[in-house]
Formats: sequence, structure tokens, C-alpha cells
Amino acid sequence: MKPDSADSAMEGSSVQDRVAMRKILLEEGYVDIQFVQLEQLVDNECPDFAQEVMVMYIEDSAKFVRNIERWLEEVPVNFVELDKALHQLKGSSASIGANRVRIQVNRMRDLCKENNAESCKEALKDLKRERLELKDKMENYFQLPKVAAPSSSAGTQSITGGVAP
Amino acid sequence: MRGELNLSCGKVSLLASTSSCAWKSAEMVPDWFPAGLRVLVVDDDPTCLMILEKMLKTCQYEVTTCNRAEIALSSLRNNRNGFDVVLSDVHMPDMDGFKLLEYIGLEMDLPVIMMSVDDGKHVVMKGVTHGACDFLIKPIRIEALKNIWQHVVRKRKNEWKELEQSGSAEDGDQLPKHSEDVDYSSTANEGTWKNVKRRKDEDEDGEERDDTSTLKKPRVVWSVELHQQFVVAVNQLGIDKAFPKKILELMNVPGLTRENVASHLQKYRLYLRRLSGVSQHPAGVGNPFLSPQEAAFGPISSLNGLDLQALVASGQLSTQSLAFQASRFGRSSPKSGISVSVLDQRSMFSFDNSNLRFGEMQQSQQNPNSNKQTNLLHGIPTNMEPKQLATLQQSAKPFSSFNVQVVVSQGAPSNGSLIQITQPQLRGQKLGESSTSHVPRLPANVSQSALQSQVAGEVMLRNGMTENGRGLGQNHPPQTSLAASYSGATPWKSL
Repeated sequence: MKPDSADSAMEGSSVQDRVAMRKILLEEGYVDIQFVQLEQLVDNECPDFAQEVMVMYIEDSAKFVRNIERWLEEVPVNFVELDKALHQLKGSSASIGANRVRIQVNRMRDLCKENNAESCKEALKDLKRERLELKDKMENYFQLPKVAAPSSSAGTQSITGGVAP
Repeated sequence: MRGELNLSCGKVSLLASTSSCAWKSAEMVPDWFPAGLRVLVVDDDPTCLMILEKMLKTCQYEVTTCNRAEIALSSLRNNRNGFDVVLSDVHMPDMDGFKLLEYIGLEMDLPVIMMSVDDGKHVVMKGVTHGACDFLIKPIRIEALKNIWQHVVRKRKNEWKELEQSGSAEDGDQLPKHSEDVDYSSTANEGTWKNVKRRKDEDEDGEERDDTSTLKKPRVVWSVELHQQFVVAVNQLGIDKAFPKKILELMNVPGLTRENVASHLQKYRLYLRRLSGVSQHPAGVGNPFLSPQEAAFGPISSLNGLDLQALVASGQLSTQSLAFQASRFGRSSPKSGISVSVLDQRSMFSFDNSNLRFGEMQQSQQNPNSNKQTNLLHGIPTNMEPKQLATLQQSAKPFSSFNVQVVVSQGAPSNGSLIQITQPQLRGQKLGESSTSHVPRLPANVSQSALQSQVAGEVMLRNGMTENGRGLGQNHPPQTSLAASYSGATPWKSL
């Protein structure tokens, strides 16, 4: 597994704002360009649309994952329904830009097409893990200011990583 | 402000309907257009719906969201002129998106754009054959949404041209090229569209002549099912041996005449020729409709790689999707006898699909002998399967007082795949559940339909969940999470 540079960056405290963290998240594939586009949809009514919708996604995705899990628990596995459930998660993951989650979903769908229950179950573990990781990252991300305050100098390493908005 | 816009848009259409001059020029919409475009979005996924709503609003459209197809349909029925375009997801729990597409095409004749995270050829093809005027692959970029107004303009324009032509004495009048191509992103597409259009002009005239000469001929609308039966019959006989009389016998549809079939067959043949590449069928094969440009089929080769990248990169929709909707053929003309739905299939279109595999496309295109050339980017649907269908040519005017339903879609062969006009069955079914959700997300000025979709939304969530059999549990408490996120408190705890 790749070293979690976003977290270590956080700990090392060079990530002072979302700009910096976003770069990392994109590089590591947690989110993709779709997420960035969502972030640009701000207006006076809704200053943090991306956060709003991400919250919703994280919550909904929990349900979708539970759904997927239950279909996998059936004996025999109903692959048709499983695929539908996966498709649901794929749609929202793609729309929010949850890249890694989406990749896992695709992986599972391929295994589902092969009617490979065991591999699907293994893949589900990965899927769940990715989702939780994303949740974690997003929690941190949205606590960061959008842009670092001008007073803090760019190069300094301060102890506190996440500055409250 | 929005209310004003609405009214003005409505006024404009009315104006346009009375004045043909307005339609000759490219300017047939108010200055502020496309702002204020009234979009109905249908998607069962709340995240997607929220994102789409936001994006569409950013485009300055007037957005109504709906998470159930049934509710969307009844909103449309209750307010026929209330929307300009519909965006619908393909996979929805209560109704297949394609079904919704059919209904809308039949009853309201609004442009419908399908969406899916699936970019498989099969599903996109279905969109084509069911009459979608475009197909967007998720994740949908805002750039793609910025262009959807083209479909509205184009459709209206085509309807007007048709009415104009059917009403006026000018038969061979070729409208200037510019008005056709104004929305096109690629010159190669223009050529094709022109060809399609030219043929349609000719065809239209031919049809009109038929019509006026035998006014008592019953009007045949080539529905999905009817066309399917037709194709099955043709395939059984073999395209070379498919004579109208035999086809008619095989189809066994009371009320259908040999002439109806003959006319339809003619168009179908044209369609097939276009698909297989005209190299197989030289221009002079006794088909008066096949123009030299058609024969050359230039557009295919000229489109090789050329504008694909431009198309995709710019996220623009290809304009050719609209040739599809070039509903000159009977979509809104009260006069046309046989609906030339097959001609719709002739049009080419491409999708806003950055996931398309170009290489694949190009390769399959090189094979001249294959009847199954797949070139989605050029948008020619090639698989000649019985499922292929013809969009319903529905005249908006005569049917405006009805809610036409494709009652026969259950596949009863003999009683007609001819469209029957019945009273709507779905209308007015209110889902009388109390609603708590999604209020903030719906535009303020949409009262009734918003309410319906809220209500339905709630119900849908429950139904959808139990349909899966897995009980997604409770509806998520949107207010809570929103409030939480606004207040800055960790919205993540409850997750």
C-alpha cells in the first residue's frame, strides 16, 4: 500500500489549506477532477457545496455498501441484484469524484460478472476500506481553510496541521 | 424574476408559433436564453440529483428535481408546457429510464437527455433507438450541461419548419445551411446533417403528396412495437426478399395496409444502406432518395479522428444527435401520414463521452463488409436487431388534449401496435405521504411539482430500499446533515 502522504503531510504540518491537501488527494487518487469541479460550484447561498454533497455521499454510500453486503450474504449470491446495487454506488461515486471508491466498485462489478462470489467478498473488504479512508480524508479536508491565511508563511512547518476554518 | 422568465419563454414560443418569420432566422429565443431554460431532472440518487441541480442552476437554468420517474411523468402531464427539456437517469427503481423516455416522446414530445454511469455501447444504443436526443455519461461535467439548450432550440426549429412546409406552397425550399449548422461544433457533422436534412425534405414532400392524394388513408404511427414487428418480419424474409405484401402478412396487424408497409420499408432500406456504408450500394440503385453525397458517405471517413477530440475535449454535445430529432418527419406535423420514425435512426450522433474508446471505433469502421459497423462517435446505430426502434412520431397538437399511452407495449401483436389513445392511468396518483425531506434543495418557485417530488422522494426512498430487499433503512435525515455542515459542527459524527 502506498504510504499515506496526506496524513503524514498533515502530521508534518505542511498542509495548511485545502489547496495543498487537494493536490495530494488528487495525486493519490482519492478524488478526481469531478470533485474539483464540484468545489467550484459555490455561491452565496451555498459557500461549501462540495462539503454538503460529500456529507450526503458518505452517508448514502454507507447504505449502498450495506446493501451490497447483504446481497453477498445470500446463498446463493444473487449476482443480478448485486450488480444493481454496485451500479448505484458507482453512479454516486462517479458523480462526487470519489475515485478510489469508484475503482473498487468497478473491480467488484467485474468479479460480479464472473459470478465469483468469493472474490467479490474479498473485494468488498477493499471497497469498505476505501470508503472509510475517503471519509477520513474528507473530514480532515473540510476542516482546513480553503486557502491558508496570508499571515502564516508558506514554508514554515507549524505544529498544528489542521487549522480550524 | 424567474417567473418572468418563464412567462417570457412561453410567450416566445407562442409568438414563434404565429410568425414563421421568426423561425427563419437563428434567433428564435429571447435574449436571455439559455438562461431560464426549464429543466426537469430525474434521478433516484440523491447525491447525483443534488449535484445536477447545482450545476444546472449554475448554468442559470430553472431546475425542477425529481427522484421518481412516475412523479416526473405526472408533473409533465400536469404541466405540459412547463418544461423545455428533461434529463433522466437510465437506471431507476420505479421505472426504466427508457420507458420514461418513450412516454415523454409520445405524450409531450420534449427533448429528453439520458444519463448513466454506464458507458457501454448497449445502453447508449438503447438511448439512441428510444429517441433520446442525447446521452450523457456520468460523471457529468458542467460543460456538457451548458450545451443542452441546443436540443430545445433545434427541436422547436424543426417543428416549425415542418409546420411551415406543410402549410406553405414552397416544396423544394431548402433552408439556408447556416441555420442548420449554427449549433455544430464540427464541419464534418454539418455535411452529414445537410444530407440527412435534404433527404428529409425530399421525403417530406413525397409524403405530403401521398397524403393529399388519399386523404382518407388512416394515419399510421410507427410505434416501437410496430417497428419491431416489422423488423422481425423483414429479417425472417431476408432483406432482399422482403416485399411489402409478405411483410404485411407476417406482421399480421389489422388496419395496416400494404402501402404503409411499403413506405416504411423504403425508409428502412435507406437506413440500412446508411449503416452499412454506401460503398456497398452505389448511388444509382434505383433509390430516388439516395443523393450522391449519401453515396459517398463522406462524413464517416472525414470524421476519422478529426473532430472527435475536439468534441470530447470541449465536452460539447455533438449536434448530430439532433438530426435524430429532426422531427420534420411527422413529429409535430398533423399532416404526415406515416411517421417516418425510421428516418430518425438514420441520423448520426455522438455523445459527450470521454470514455469512448476511439481506437475501437476506428477499427470497426474500417471494415467495409461488415454490416455491424459500430461508430458511436459518429453515432450511427448499426445493430439491426428487432429491438431497434422508431421514435414515436407524435404530433403535439392533435394529441395535446390527450394523454396518450402506449397501451400496447405489452406486446399483444394483433391488437395493434398501432397507437391507441387512452386515458392516462398514472395521472393524479398522489403519494400521500408526509414529507420532510429535500425542501432546501428544490427551487423555491416550483410549488406543485416540487411538492410531489418531495413526497414521492420520501416514498421512493422507502420503496426503492425495500425493493432491493435489503432495506436501506431509514431515509437519511438531510436536514440534520445539512444543518450540521452549515453550522460547522462535525457532520461526520452521525455517519
